[in-house]
Amino acid sequence: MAPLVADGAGVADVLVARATPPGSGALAIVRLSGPPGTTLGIARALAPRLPARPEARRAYLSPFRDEEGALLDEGLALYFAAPRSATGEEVVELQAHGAPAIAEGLVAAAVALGARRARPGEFTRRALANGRIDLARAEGIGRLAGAASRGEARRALGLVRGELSLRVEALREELLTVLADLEAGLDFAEDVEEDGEAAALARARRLHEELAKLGRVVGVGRAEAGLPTVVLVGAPNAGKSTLFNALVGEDRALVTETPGTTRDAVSEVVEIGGERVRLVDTAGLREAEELVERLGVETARRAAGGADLLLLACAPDAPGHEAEGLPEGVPVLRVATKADLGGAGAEGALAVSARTGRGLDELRREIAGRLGAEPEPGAWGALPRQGEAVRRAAEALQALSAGLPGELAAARVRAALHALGEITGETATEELLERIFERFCVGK
Amino acid sequence: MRARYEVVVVGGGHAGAEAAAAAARLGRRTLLLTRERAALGRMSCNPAIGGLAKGQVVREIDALGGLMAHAADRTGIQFKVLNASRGPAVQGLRCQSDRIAYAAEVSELLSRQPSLTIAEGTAAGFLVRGGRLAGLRLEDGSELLCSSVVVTSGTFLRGLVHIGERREEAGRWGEAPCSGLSESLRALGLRLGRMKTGTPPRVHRESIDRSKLLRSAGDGRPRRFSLRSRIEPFPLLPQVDCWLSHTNERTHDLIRANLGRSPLYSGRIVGRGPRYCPSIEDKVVRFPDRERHTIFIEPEGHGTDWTYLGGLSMSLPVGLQLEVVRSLPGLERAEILRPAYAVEYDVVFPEQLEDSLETRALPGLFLAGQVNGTSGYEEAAGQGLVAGANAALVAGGRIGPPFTLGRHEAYIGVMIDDLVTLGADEPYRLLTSRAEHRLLLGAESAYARLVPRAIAAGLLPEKEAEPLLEREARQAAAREALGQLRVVPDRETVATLDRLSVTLAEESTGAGLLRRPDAPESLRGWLEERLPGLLGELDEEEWSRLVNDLRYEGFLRRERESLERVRRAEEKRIPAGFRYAGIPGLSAEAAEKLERHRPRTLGQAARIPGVTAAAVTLLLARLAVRGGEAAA
Repeated sequence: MAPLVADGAGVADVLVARATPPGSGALAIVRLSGPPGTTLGIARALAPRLPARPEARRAYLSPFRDEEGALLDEGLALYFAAPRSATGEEVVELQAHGAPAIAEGLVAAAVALGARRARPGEFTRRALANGRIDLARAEGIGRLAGAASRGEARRALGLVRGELSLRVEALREELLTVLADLEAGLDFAEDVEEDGEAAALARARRLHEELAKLGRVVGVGRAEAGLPTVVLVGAPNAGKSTLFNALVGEDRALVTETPGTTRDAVSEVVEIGGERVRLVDTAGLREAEELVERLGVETARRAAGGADLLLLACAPDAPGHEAEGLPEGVPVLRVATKADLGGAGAEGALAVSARTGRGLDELRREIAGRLGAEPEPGAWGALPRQGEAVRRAAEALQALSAGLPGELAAARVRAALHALGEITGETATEELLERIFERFCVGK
Repeated sequence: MRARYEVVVVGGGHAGAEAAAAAARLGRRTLLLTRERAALGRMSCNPAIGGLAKGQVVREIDALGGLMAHAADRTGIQFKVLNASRGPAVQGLRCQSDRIAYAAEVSELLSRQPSLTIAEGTAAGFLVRGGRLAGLRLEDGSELLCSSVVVTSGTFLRGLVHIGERREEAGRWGEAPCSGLSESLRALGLRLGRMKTGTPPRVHRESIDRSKLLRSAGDGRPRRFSLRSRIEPFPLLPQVDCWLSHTNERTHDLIRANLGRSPLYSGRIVGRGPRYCPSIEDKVVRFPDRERHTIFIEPEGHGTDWTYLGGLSMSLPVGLQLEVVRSLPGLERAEILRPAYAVEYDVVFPEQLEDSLETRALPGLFLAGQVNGTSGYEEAAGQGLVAGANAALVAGGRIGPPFTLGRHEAYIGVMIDDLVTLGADEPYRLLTSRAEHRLLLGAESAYARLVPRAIAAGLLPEKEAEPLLEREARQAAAREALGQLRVVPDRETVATLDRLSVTLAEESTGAGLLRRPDAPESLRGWLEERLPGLLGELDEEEWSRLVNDLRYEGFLRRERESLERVRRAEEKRIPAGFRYAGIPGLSAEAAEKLERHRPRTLGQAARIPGVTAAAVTLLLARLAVRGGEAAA
């Protein structure tokens, strides 16, 4: 069969790709996106029961065939009309059974019919270009695709829904009005009273506080490299490694009855309370005799210093001055391990038995609680670059004081607006003038 | 056959005068064609030059060898720095001009300009040969061969004057419009639009009761526009006061009750007027809560009784105008010498121009001034200079790039880039807020920014440039020396400085002391004693610039850094024939806007309203792909 899409300039390609992760699963989704008509044409060659005028967002049961008409599978075909689709183009999704060969067969057949394999991120790029999403949302989709925990997925979804964009947009709006007031005084000095300037500066200072607050939490500490870190510390043989393994869910750390067996900090990423958390096991924080042991202790100290939360393990059969040598300023959660051995357990400690599983769920909840909730909607889902932009905006406004000449204050506000524009992707000149003319009666 | 003229400039207003002078300065045989020789340099509206952002443009014109600053200095009757309480970047020098003297001065400068001829006549159309402009057709049927033409038609293209229900075909009060040219421009494929502007009534000086008015005096020590001509004595003409009055409820009621008789509100005027220069009807309607609006009463010169009522432009019938004027304190017995009127005229949408102000439709044809949708004498003059220079380059068989100014270099550059990139759907006026690098575009730095460009382009003879360059060198040397002048806190120095109320706790430099925001005026004398050769030669303006440069150093540095970042986007050029239609993913709206405006750089594309960041990203990607293909 001849390709349905002319390979001429000016005609957007029909993109095809498998939309579900590679490998086998119960279902595989193959997505086609492109200009109206041609996209549906290719889709109908693959899924012949899809009607010529399909209803939008309806699933049609159809056999799936390759370009020669050979039967590949049977499944559902969903149709989305432009521009009300994920990419803003005409989109058809084919839901096939999960065998890799079937999805690949469908993609290959679509390519034989004139579609082109989508490069990574290309669907999103089209959605961005068609104005279906803004920059922040596009980046959210990228994160959603790579989300490794439910929390991350939820926050990435926040980005997709535009939580951060909305928040930043609101601040930007206010800042634009501040700038309009400042600029009106500069450009229409003869028509505009000067006392508006002081009020505008006061508003700008309030916005600075808000931006600074937002900047402290947006896109920091929760990015890939900066997962919250929980470090297990405690006297040798306090049961740290057993607890570590119980939380990780497999025998990851070496467990022996000999104190000081764990010489290196062992770390594993686990999901606790829907969040990804880096869990680090350390050697006992006891002054060791042996050199090798001492090295392990040094590692522990370093790891503990960088932690967001310390789990201090204390066991009835391994007494020790637990609190000694702990880094300052890091919150500590006391855990009484080996609760199955009996004993009172330390005051205020959470009793846990890795062997019976007692107390493990409470411990997980407690860890999640201690690590804290998301301080601002959209804050943790943001990319480091977006956090950067917010912090640059806050910094630009920092030097605004009552005595700063108007043109310098305006320059600062402009710099802040410019930084925020990197998140929402907008420029301001015409908007600014609109606002000046709305608010002030200027001109002779 | 050799054409007698290489460049023809149509129109002798503020754009035409600069265009003709610039073309002639570049050595091209130039003809200025005007309908009335006596109308050269005529001020159609307010008798003033300069103002915020505009004052900077006047300086820029001076640095580029133009006429306006010199003419304004010689004919100013009140000089005032606006925004004097603010920083140097946003200060703007403005002067009231003697209207008649100003026009005479411009006429005189043009008459003295070598290579320039002035003739009376009316242009009607263009001669085209091989897709290029070949000459001009005049209304009397004669033809004029030339290589390039600059049209500066102001408000004359199909000009229509409105006063109440009365309508008259005129480009200015009592001056016939020019209509053939509109059709000829349209026939070239150019899109034309309609705009509106207005001018207030003029009243007899003797009919004003000044005892009821607020005096508005000029600066005690007036500053000059032109550091190039440095006329002496300055100011040349006797200085006068302006006066302020205010509208009141009675004025507003009168206007509200008669809105139906204003063509602006009866729907008779279709053209769009300027937002920043609204008619009094507009002000009353749009800001109903304002109890009063300021009216500026400005004398039009020494040889005339005409007095200008700034802020009172309107298009009500004459009888009502008199009632409105007489409702103002001090004007109860005012006699109107010429009524206010609105004027509608044709403009060519400026996004059809290159940044040299040459039309894309017909190579060799340039447009400047109000015909491009701008307002203001200074805006017109700045465009005229650039268009005239480029018309001369084309006439000389230009091989290199055109003469253009960047947004970071000059307000003229900001304006032309705005016009050709964004277009104009209302009369465009320069504002300092339109310049993203405002802090770098102060009037003080105009010569530093532009004299080297003017010399390179041949617009400024080296003999004239030399004193300006020396001035810059003096400035730099003084700054350098002050930075190196150590001020050590020994007993004597501490005591001396203490008497000047300067506290010296630790070692500093001359620059360090001056940088302090509370540095007293008296510090100047003390520093001069220590660096007599360098500081003693500085005049008032040079001294204040020195101090400003020191105090704003940090801000200026930051500004220059941000400029570098912006410049990268500006340097990404979009090829001339670039096709936007059919770029996968580019929205139809963005493609249409880009197709219409045809930005030359990615930076310009990003400034077009409706072109989203996403579209710019897509363009960037597309340009990268194309670049790759070209390299392969």
